[in-house]
This record gives sequence, C-alpha cells and structure tokens, in this order.
Amino acid sequence: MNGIILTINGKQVKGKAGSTVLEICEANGINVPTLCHLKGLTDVGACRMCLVEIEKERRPVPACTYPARDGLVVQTSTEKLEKHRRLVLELLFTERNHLCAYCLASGDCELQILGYEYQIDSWRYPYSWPSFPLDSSDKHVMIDHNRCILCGRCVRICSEKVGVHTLDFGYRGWKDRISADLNQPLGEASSCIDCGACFQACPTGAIWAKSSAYRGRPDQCKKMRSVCALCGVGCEIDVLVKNNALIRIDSTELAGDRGVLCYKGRFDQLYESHQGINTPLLRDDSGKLKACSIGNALDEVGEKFGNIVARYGKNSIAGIASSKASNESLKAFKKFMTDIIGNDLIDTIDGDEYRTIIQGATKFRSGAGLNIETTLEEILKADCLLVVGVNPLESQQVAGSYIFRAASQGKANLIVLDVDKNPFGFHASTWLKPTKGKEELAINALTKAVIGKLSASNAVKAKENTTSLGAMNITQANKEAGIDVEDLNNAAAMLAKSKHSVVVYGKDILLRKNPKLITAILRLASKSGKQNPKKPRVISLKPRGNSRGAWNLGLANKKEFSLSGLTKNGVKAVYLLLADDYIDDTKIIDGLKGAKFVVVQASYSSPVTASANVVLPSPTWAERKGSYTSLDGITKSTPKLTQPQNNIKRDEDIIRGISKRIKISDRRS
Amino acid sequence: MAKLGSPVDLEKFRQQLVSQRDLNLPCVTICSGTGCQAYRAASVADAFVREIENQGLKKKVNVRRTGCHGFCERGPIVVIFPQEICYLGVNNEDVPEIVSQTLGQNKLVESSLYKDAKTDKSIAYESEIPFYKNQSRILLGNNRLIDPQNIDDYIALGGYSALVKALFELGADKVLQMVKDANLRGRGGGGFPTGIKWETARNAPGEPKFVIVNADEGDPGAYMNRSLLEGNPHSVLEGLIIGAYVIGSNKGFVYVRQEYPLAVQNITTAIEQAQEYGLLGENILGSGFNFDVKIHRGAGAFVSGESSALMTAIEGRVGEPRPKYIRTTVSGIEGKPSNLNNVETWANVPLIISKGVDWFKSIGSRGNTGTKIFSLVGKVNNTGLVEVPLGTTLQEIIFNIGGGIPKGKRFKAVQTGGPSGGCIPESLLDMPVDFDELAKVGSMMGSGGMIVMDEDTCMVDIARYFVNFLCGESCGKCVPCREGLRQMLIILNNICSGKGKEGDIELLQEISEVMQDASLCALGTTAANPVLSTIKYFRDEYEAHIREKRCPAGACRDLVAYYILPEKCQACLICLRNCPAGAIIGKKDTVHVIDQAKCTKCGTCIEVCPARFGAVVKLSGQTVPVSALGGTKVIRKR
Ligand SMILES: Cc1cc2nc3c(=O)[nH]c(=O)nc-3n(C[C@H](O)[C@H](O)[C@H](O)COP(=O)(O)O)c2cc1C
Ligand code: SF4
Ligand code: SF4
Ligand code: SF4
Ligand code: FES
Repeated sequence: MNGIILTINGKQVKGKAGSTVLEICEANGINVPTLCHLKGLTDVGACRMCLVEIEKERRPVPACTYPARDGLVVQTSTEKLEKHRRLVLELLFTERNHLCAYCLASGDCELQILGYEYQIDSWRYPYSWPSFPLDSSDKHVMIDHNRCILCGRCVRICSEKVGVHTLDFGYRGWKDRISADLNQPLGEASSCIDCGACFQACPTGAIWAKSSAYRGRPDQCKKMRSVCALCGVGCEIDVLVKNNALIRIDSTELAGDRGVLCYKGRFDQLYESHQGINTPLLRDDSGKLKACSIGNALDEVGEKFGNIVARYGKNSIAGIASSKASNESLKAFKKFMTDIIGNDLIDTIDGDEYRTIIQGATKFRSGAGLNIETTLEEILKADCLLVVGVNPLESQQVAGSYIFRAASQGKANLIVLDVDKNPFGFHASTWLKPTKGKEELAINALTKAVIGKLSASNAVKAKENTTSLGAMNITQANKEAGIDVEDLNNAAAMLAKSKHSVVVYGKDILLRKNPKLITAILRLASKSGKQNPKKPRVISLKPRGNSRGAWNLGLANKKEFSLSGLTKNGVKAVYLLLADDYIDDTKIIDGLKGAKFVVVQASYSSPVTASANVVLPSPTWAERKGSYTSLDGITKSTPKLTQPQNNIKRDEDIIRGISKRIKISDRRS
Repeated sequence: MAKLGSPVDLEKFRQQLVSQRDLNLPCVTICSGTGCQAYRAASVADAFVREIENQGLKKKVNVRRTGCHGFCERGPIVVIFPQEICYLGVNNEDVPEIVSQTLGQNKLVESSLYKDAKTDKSIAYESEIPFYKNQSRILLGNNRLIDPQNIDDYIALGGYSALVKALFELGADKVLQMVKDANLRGRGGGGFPTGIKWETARNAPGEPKFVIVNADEGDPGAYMNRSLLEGNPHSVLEGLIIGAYVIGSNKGFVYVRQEYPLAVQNITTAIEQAQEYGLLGENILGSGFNFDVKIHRGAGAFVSGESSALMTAIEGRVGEPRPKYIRTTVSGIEGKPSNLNNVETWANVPLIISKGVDWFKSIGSRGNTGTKIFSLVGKVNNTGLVEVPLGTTLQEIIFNIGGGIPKGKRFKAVQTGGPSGGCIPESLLDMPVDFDELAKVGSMMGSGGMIVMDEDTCMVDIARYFVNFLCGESCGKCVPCREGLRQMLIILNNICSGKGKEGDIELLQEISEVMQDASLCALGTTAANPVLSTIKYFRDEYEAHIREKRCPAGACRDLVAYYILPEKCQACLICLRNCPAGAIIGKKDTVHVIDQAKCTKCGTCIEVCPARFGAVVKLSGQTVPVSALGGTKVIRKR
C-alpha cells in the first residue's frame, strides 16, 4: 500500500509515499552524502551536501527535504553535483578551524570523512582564521565554535527530542553561532539539563564531553550494547571501553523515540563517585575493619549465620536488598533467604513504596498489581499529561524529556499537581498547588470536576465507583485543599476532553505512604477522557534503577517491614545486599544498631558498610553481566563491560559461597 | 459611527461625504511622508494652519496632510488645489507669502516653484514638472489627495467600491478570473502571476487559510512599499480583503518592518477604522464574509522578507527561510495554505476590479501589464519615487524623468533589483524595464530599486558594496550563501585594495555558480548577480585592478594617489591648510608636495585646489613621481 516508484540513477526503486528522496535512497542502499541530516530529526536542508538533480526542477534540490513522489526521475551523482559538493566542503574547511591533527573528533568526524572522500587537500580560497570563543563553562559539555559547521543538529535535538530548547543560533551569516539560553555560557544556561544529546548529535568536534575528550577514538575502543540501570527508565546504551576503562556512553538511537539519555547515564558512570570496595573486610578485635581474603570472610559469615540460626531460630536473620542490584543478584539473594535461612524476613530498601502502590492499586481494583501501570511510550502519544508529586527532571530526567516532547508545540496539555516548590510546575499550562497533606482531597476534587465535564454518555458510565465522591462539595474541597477554582476547572476540562491522557506520579506521593492517594490517582485517571476503566494510563516513577525488577521477583515484602521493629523482636543478624548503591539513610543505620551481626555486600564504602561486621565486595554495574527491569517492566541485559579489580566475584557466587559454608541443623519450618 | 451594513449604506455615506465637501474650496496639501518629514514638513504644516488663521482665511481654505508625493528630494512638497500649484522645498519662512499671495490673491510665489535646469523657466503645475509629467501614477497618484489617517478621504474618492463590486456583483470566481486575465504579476520581485497564486491557495486543502501583506521592504534605499502603506493604506487593505474573499481566508496579516513607524501607525489606524465601519470583521457589509487582519512587526532582517522566512517569523520563530518544495500557498503558516503578496501587488487589485481588465492591460507591455514603482536614486538629477508603465525604457526613466546625470558627468551603469540585482551598462539603456527583460540581462526587478551610477563609480567597488550588504544579511543557515558570500567579499576586498591575484575572477565565478545552484533561498541564489553582471559588462575594470593595480574610476582608495603637478602649483597654501591629515608639505613660493605616507586619500586637496590652477591630480595604476626634496620654486602663471 502507498507504494511509489521512482527512477534513481536510471534504476527503478520502490519507496513509501510520504518519505523524502533521501529516505528512499537510504532504504535502497544509494549513498548520498549528508551533514545536517540526522535520522529522526526534522530536516532543514542547510548543508546542501545531499543535493540531487530531479527532472523538471530548475536547480539541484536537497534530497533530505524533497518529498518523494511517484515517477520522480532522480540523479544523485552527476558531475555538476559532485562539483557543488566539493565546493561546499571546501568552503566549510576554509570557514572555521578544521586542522584535524589537533581535534579530538579526528577519526570520528563526518566532515573529515567527507573531506577524505572528496580529497580536500588544500585551500584555494582565502583561509578565514576563525577566532570564536571556546565555551568550557559547563561541567560536562564543551563547545568549540571554531569547529562548528552550523548544521543545527544540536539545536534540533535539544528542542525536538530533549525538549528543553536550550540551544539555538545566535547572530547571522558567517558570524552565526550556537547559543545557549539567549547567549549565556552553557554552564550558566539554566534550561540546560546536561543530557549530552548535543554532543552526540554533533557531526564534528564542535561539541564534546570533557569526560571522553582525547581518551580514545571509537575505532580504538570496544563498543558494547548495554542498558543503563540508574533510574529505571531503562535506556539502551552503547558503551565504549578502552584499556578496561569506560570511555564514552552513547545512546543507541539518538533521535529515536527512547534515544535521549540523562547526565547520570551519560556521564556519571565515567567518574568514580565513591570510594570502591575491592576486598572483603572483617572487623577485628580492636573493632576496626581490616582487609582479609574472601575465604576468611565467607567462613566468618557462614559460621556466624549458622550459629545464630542454631541458637535463635531461623527467624533471627533478616535480609535487605537494594533495588539497584541486578535481577541475577536479587534472585540469588532471595533464594538464599527463603531456602537456606528459611524465612521471609526480606525486603528491599524501597519496600514501603512498593506496598503503597500495591495496596492503592488493590483498593482501586481487586487483584491489580504493578501490571496495572502503563508504559513510558504512552507519554509520547499523550494529548494530556498530569504530573503528580514529582519533578521528573530530578528523579527520571529522561521521562521529563518525554513529557516535554509530548507537550511541545501545544500537542499535549501539561498539568502539574504539586506544591509550589516543584519547579516542574513552571512548564505546565495549569499548575494546581495543593496545600501539603491535602493532595488526596485535591485529586478527588479534580476527579469530581472531570466527571462534571464529561459528555453525557461518558458521565453515566463514570457514575459507578464514584459514590464516595457524590457528597463532595467542590468549592468547599477546593478551599480546603488550597486549589484555585479556575485552575481546577481548566485542568478538569483538559482531562475530560482528552483522548489519550497519561498520569505520571512519583517520589513525593510514594513517600507519603498513603495507599489512598494511589487509589485516588487511579480513579482520576480512569475518568479522564477516553480510557480503559480497568487499566487507566498511569505510571509511577519508582525510586531505583531496578525497583520493578526487585518487586517483580518478590524481594519487597508484602507485609510491613521495619528493621528496628524486627531487631527488637528477636532478629539478631542482618544481611544487606547493596550492590553499587550508596546508602546513608539514618533509618537503616539506626535499625542496624539493634543487630548483633551485620553483613553488607557492596561496591562502595558508605556509612552502612562502616557499621558492618563483615563487608563483602560486590561488582559494579559495569563489572558484571546482568539484567535489569525498567520501571515500565521491560527487562534488558548488559554484558560485563570491564574486569573488576582483584577479580571480585559476582554476588551470586558470593552468596553461593556463604550457602556452602553455612551449617544449619534447624531445618524444620 | 454605526457599522455600514450594506453596499447601499456605503454608497449613501460616500454621497454624504462628497456633498459635504466643497471641491472648489482651495486646499493646501502638505506632504507628510517620511521624506518630507525629515525636511520638517510637520512644522511647515503647522505654520500653514497658523498663517491661514492669522490671515482670516480659515473658513475659506482646507488644509490636508497627505502621504508621500514621490519627489522627496525636493521636500517639503506643498500642492495647492484645485489648480495643483506645486511648491517645492517649502520652509516655515515661505509660508506667510504663499498664504497671502497664492491663497489670498491667486498669485504664484516664484521662488518656491520648480525651475527647469535646461530652459531656466519656472513651472507652476505639478503635472507639468518633467519628473511627474512622464509618470503614470495610478497607484501613487491618490497619495496627494487623501489624509491617510482618515478613511473618509479614501471613501470619498470611491474607496471600497471595488470591494462592493467583488462581493456583491462579481463573486469569487469572476474576481479570480479578472486578476488572472489582467495578468497581474507579483511586485515583490519574482513577478509570479498573482491570479495563479491565489488559485493555488484557494484550491489547497486545509483550514484556516491565511493572506499576508509583505511590507518588509529591506532593500537599502527602497521605500515604495513604505510610501504606499503610509500614504494610502486603505488601497492595500481593500486589495487584501478582496484577495481573502477569493481565496476563502478569514485571517490576514500585515508583516511590516518595525523601522517604519509611520507605516505601522497608518496601517493600524486604517485597520481600526475599517473595523469600525464594518469593512473588516464579521459579516462585511452584510455579505456574510468574515475577515480580520493582524499586524506583525518584523524586526528588520532583510531575509525575513523572503516568503518562508516571513511565515516562520509570523509563527513566532526566528525568521529564517526553510525549504519549500511544497509551496507556501499549500503549506505556509503552521502548515496551512498561505497567500503572500507584496504591498504594491495588493494595491493594484482594487484598480483592476474597478476599472477593468482591459484598462489594466492597456498599461504596460506584453506579459508585463500595469505600472511599477521604482525608487530612483544615485547619480541622477531628480531622485524619488517614480511610477511608470512596465516596459518603459531605462533611457526614459533616467533621462526624461530623472533629468539625467548631474554635473555633466557621463552615465555608466544602473543597478536594479535591490542588493542582489545586477548592473546594466550604457549600451542597454534602450531596453524596456520589465520582469523578463531585466532577468535576461542578468539583473532583476526585485522590489524596484534603481541606482544610477556615473563615470566616477568603480564597478568592482559597487559589487563589493552589495556583497558586503548581503554578507551581513545572509541568515547563515546554508553553506553556499553563508560562506560563498564571505569568500566573495574577501576576494573583492583584495581586488579593491590591490591584492587581487590572477585567477580571482574565476574563483568568483565558481562560487557564484554554486551559490546560484545550491543555496536554500532566493537571497543566496540571486546574491551573485552584482558580481556576475559587473564581470560580464565591466570585466576590464576587474582586470585593471588585478593586473595593473589600477582603478579606472579612481574610486578605490588603496589604488589611487594624489599628486601635485609641480609645474602647475602656485603655492597658494589652500590645500596645505585644508588637508585633514597634515600630509602636505610646502610654504610660500615653494611647490607643495604630498607626503604619500601620511596621505589618507580623502581627496580634499583636489577639491579645494582652485580650478584655474588645477594642480592636483589623481593617479591610479602608476607610480607617483618623486618630488624634489627641499622644494622647488613656483613657476608663476601669467
Ligand atoms: C531575501 C529576500 C527578501 C525579500 N524581501 C521582500 C520584501 O521585502 N518584500 C516583498 O514583497 N517581497 C520580498 N521578497 C519576495 C518574497 O519572497 C515573495 O516572493 C513576495 O513577497 C511575493 O509577493 P508577490 O507575488 O506579490 O511579489 C524577498 C525575497 C527574498 C529572497
Ligand atoms: S571537526 Fe572534523 S573536520 Fe574539523 S578538525 Fe575536527 S575532525 Fe577535522
Ligand atoms: S555544534 Fe555541532 S551539531 Fe551543533 S551546529 Fe555546530 S557542528 Fe552542528
Ligand atoms: S540562501 Fe542565505 S539567506 Fe537563504 S537560507 Fe541560505 S544562508 Fe539563509
Ligand atoms: S543533509 Fe540535506 S542539506 Fe544537509
């Protein structure tokens, strides 16, 4: 269907209607040189490298912006075209500083590649000795205007995909240059979120990352497909490794739907943020943690765990895991607790959030679990977005980008419901600011207002399940919740008429530990425009990179779980699997005080490892093969990217070591 | 004022206006266009009001401040009706005499009349002044009859009757056919047939549709759109409403540059008044047609006048061109059908509707109907706005209307079409000026700029001037235009400063070719015209610069030297005293010598040296003779 046939270079080729000539060439393996084109971004026809000749067109046209039609007769490489392309390249090389020997992009530069292809070996035109400034004000990203070819790819990715519109062009003509936030140094441009998309989009050495500069060209690195496990969005990444070090982290399909990364995913992994643990540690008689062999450490843990169970029973050991750990580590940990120790005194650090979500969902519809949630892709299709109690730019920056992208150019209405401290509210078309603690009332008032605005047929359907709201007086509720009536009505109108609304909530709601809030959110969503009433489009931004994975594996306890309560009631030992999480939560540290024996398995030293009796090393994300499940339930795996120092064993192996050494006679249930 | 609800209401209102006006009553019109304002026309107008009152003539004379009359060079212009006595260069001191003599006693004030340079005779009536006599002012003519801030003036002259005819008599199909038959071509430069453009927009799917007036006019020295918008805004508005009706648009924009405050003010007032009268807004004159207009002020970038850039700017983004392989008439503002026409194009529409296709086609030449307004400037005696039928020859415009070249110098070339137009040499003076002929000789119509150059103008320098302008105006988006222009500028600078190399002309031609073929918008594709046309017609000048380091016109500073001929110098000390650089050495009775190291080549010496001595000469392409140190004795003239 919708097929068209073109003649390109004398051959008939098929294509899809609605494509550009360039897309059809690419699909058919016909090479057309490009510079300003980046698949996924709007084409602008700026560089003029992709010029082709088309019958009946007065002059050559750029293939990237020319709409393909049935019957077009196209030539992609005539003498005239090649002459023009060569001259365009010559002009680019004379325009600014392209002395490749000193450029960190050398070997990884689209301009350089074309320079070789067209054999630009000298300047015939007067050289312009550019003297633009170098902007090194930003923490991660450098801009060298002297190497910029003004292709605009950075500008377009920044607005079309990242959605923050930091970069634009300033000045004009040959003085034109990239400018951030009305000509601020990039480091001072408040809208910049340091996602690094511009640097990956740049075809030359004009934008680059300090973390990767001069550390190795891609062809000297090993490139491995991986998944970022930092926040739960689950971005697919390509990691460049050289000499057992991470050199660069790229998005796999930069301008694709899920191609944007955040500063954490792109840069944080390249820096050592905390002191690593490379060897097991045992607390000696003087009370100091001292390095020991892994055998010694495992012996100690096996013996102590065995003794404690023998003496106090199997319910005397509790296990806590961080949901940053890989699914494989978590699975082994759970198996250890249930099969070897034989209890269910196990939880994740974010167990409270899990229980709040699950209890809220069950109240909304019995039997509902995490599966009731929708996927992140739905945000991109939304025509109305409601963000409740979270600043996605802080917790899951990439999700923030999806929201911006959906809301750009008025495609979707953005409503934020949160206290006025949340700066995300400034991006909203309507910002409802409930008084702290009155969120539930505010959400219910909004739900009632939405029902009031639904079309007659929908309103009848909406009646069910809202009896509890029947008696509510919106004006009264508004007043009590501190919401502006007009804002509420605006928001309700947008939600009621929407065809594809999505509700996103997160941190501040989850910390409230109030399942009723979750029920209220789900109910609101189920009334908002066209929805599946049983599975309304709602998504929670979960606390950790693998929260969903840990919760799916049943690591989070269904019942209340309090470390200090447990230690008061007979728990003598605690086993913590932190993996590469860094924990300084005083609640946990205080809870550990009641335990006699604490084992912490972690990659980094932290206040928690400092309070352990035995510290076991744990490989970092880069040092182990593993899989992680995104907050919307997609599981992806990563290979071992670097060799761990001292050949640290995998978490599973260490746990198996403990299991082997433990002697538990008390095997009755 | 109540809204005019029907054509009958409008006609009644017009008759009422006409009956209230005594056409025999003398009327003093003072041009208040921007040019005359610069000559303090506002104060002259005030002086007339005061003086008329003082002399007790208030009841017997009307005073009207009008738009531009076109002969701006001689402003402030005052025309006294009904005789159409034309006074030029009137200042406050002249006013009492004009009031007492002309208004009081019906006598002419000789000193303020136009004086013909050739016959030395005064000319009293506007229509007899050669500058006006040889024009056909069908668009500009009404400027002097109406107060642009008063819609009643326009209505009294029959304004908006074309709209009535279009809405109630003809209907959209017939109006479109008339515009097509009249073969009205776009006055914004390209000469695209307006009827066909309208038809495309009309048939294009998508709602809403937009109509736009292009009043960006960024060419240096051009101000014809400005004068129309300032002097007769309703004529443009009426054309726009008719076009909107044909196309099926309910929303229009006037994109006018911010640097035209008076134009902004007058078109704003015009829109407000038209709304008040029911000529804009809902249900215009009871026809059921709704149409509203918004003003968008452009921030003065030349390239924003290009259609796709202008529409991008209206969308609220940076006004840069975008590829338009789907026409803007199909996908323009926000992807909707958008019809853009130039101010002058719109202003022609009511005339075609009122006076008919045949009348319009009787003006102009084949395929180029109607008139065109030019801004005639440069080395020509009469400068100002000139409206002539398309197809009028350059000779006619420059010599009959423009009065030829001042100071008896020789005509060298005329540059048409704005910054990216071309230079046309003397040998082509007989060519008719229309869209097609100009393109044939390597220039273009552009918006109608016409710069006359005499023998003192260096053609390489002229090319450099325009390339420099365009270099600053290129938006920088596409490589051929952005870098091509800069390289051209560097090479031309080199040539003009004596650093030109063999092969430079070929490099220029090579860049021109890629710019013409590969640039994104018409700024880039036309930007090589000034260079190519001067190479074509004046290649010898380029070669003289490059090979002999000589500027034949003596205009390129770096290539000229001033020299005092020892045998002619009378040691009068005049040049020595006037030289701002203190570069002249000499004393009484001793021949003066220019210290070439100090000389800044300002040319003061040659100007001040008394003509009867003529001792200073300008040299180019030759070494300056070494003068004897310590001075030589003067050879006295007898
Ligand atoms: C660089 C550039 C500047 C232009 N500036 C103007 C302008 O100031 N006014 C104008 O009417 N047309 C201008 N044009 C032409 C417009 O793109 C467009 O063709 C015109 O407004 C269409 O109106 P018309 O069909 O009535 O001529 C410019 C074109 C280019 C390439
Ligand atoms: S940006 Fe590319 S072409 Fe320019 S110097 Fe760097 S490697 Fe060379
Ligand atoms: S910085 Fe890079 S991506 Fe941005 S315009 Fe310049 S060359 Fe293109
Ligand atoms: S031709 Fe010049 S003005 Fe037009 S888009 Fe290209 S750079 Fe901009
Ligand atoms: S890739 Fe098409 S113009 Fe740059």
